[in-house]
Amino acid sequence: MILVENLTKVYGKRPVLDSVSFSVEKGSITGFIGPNGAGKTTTIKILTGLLRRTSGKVEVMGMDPWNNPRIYERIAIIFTTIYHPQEVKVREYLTDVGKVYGRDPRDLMEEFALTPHADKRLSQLSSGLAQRVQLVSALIRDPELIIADEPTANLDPKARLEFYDVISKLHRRGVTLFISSHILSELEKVITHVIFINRGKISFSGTINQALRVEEGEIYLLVDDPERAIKVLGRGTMEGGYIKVTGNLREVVDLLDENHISVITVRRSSLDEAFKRFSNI
Amino acid sequence: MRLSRGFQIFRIVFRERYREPTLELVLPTMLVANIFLSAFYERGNFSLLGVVLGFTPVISVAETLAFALGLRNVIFVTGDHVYKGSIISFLTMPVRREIFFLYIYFADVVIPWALWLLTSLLYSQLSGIRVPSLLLATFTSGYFFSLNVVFLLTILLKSPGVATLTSMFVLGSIFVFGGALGYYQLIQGNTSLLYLSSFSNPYVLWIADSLGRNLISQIISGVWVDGVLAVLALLFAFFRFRGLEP
Repeated sequence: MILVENLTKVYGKRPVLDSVSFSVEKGSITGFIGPNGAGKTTTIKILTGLLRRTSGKVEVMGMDPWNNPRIYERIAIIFTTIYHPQEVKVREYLTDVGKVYGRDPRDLMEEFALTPHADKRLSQLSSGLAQRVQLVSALIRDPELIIADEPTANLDPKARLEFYDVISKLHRRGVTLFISSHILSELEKVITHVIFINRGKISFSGTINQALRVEEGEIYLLVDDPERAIKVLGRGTMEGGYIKVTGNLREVVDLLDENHISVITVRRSSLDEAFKRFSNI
Repeated sequence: MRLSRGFQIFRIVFRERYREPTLELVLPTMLVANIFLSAFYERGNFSLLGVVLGFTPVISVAETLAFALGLRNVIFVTGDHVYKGSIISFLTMPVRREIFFLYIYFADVVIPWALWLLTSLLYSQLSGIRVPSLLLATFTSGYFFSLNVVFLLTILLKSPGVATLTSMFVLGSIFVFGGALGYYQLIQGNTSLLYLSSFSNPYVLWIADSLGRNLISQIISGVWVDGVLAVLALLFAFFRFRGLEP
């Protein structure tokens, strides 16, 4: 779906992307992860034809995205906020997009509960509503690929969960998704693949399973009696409410079970930790 | 039958610039303003002077309206989109940037001029007042020169406020100093230099011509210079827009 080879972008004399290479498989949900200023938005703007690359190769659905209207017939883009004149009303915006793509937006507006907000201006929408409008605008295009740049950055937890719920549904319909974010806790529940970017360089690209595989066997445990658990295990440190311990998961859980300590949650590794590990942070 | 994608995109661009009651206000005002031409015209021997005064920017309401509408479109619609990033919504529609540039240029600049020309010709036809085609060409070339410079500055500077100030300074200087230079050359009797300076304010020459001086060739030279500069500014704006990175 997406192929990037040795992509470089230089603003003036400042390199923002340095020989970036990765690919996105059809049917995947790929998380594009990195801290602020890592080059996520620049990469996404190049992928969506808004910025020109300085050098390297970029193909989206086999085509160069720069000034290529055929791309916009097959992809949809979701940003943190709606980039459209803000005085336009929701109904007008979605009807216009619908006319361009030959689809009546009313059923989608109904499905996403936007009908009661149809006469609001885009500037009057809450972040959650604005993101629903962007989702409907994206779905009107019936895209094969959705590229999203920090789509949940301004959303409250409920709206984030709703957003990722829709993302999962789209994925089941066969839509490929490429989502950049630095809020990883929700993202790791939906993505199948992950790309880490830091300071304009890719530090990891692969499946979520590969990213979260920990050689050292770090385990995070939430138990009902952490102090006694550490004594029983004879090792481990507290990290927040969790006990961080290294070892074989089955042995650790069995040992706690034998000592009548209830294990509430077990976590092997998170995207945050994987990102830190791959980016040497 | 569904209209083409290109037309649908143009319709969005057009509607954004000419929301109600823009055209409902502008068109009748332009027509009514042309009726006031007669006030200048019915002056016996001064008939040409009357028409010239009636077609001088700032004095002519229709020309001022066309110019104001064009400026508003370029600076405060297109310029605002570039400044706030809402141009992204249009750049990610299924249309080539070159075509989209033509859409916004047509909606921003060409339509206000067409409204002015239409209403002027309509009234001229209905009233029987003959307006020299060179006078129409003078406003046309000056209009496109000014608006294309503003268009270029807006795309270059990416800020409506800075573009407004820079445009006012650049175009105001050319028009005011050009007019003063024209009068100075007329007083000095040096009409050959007017071939070079007439582009900056040809209305000075039109007034002198209507009062008996024969300056048509100098006016034609000014129209050509304005026309060539307008095309150059448009080409620069086009290439800048094609490579625009929002």
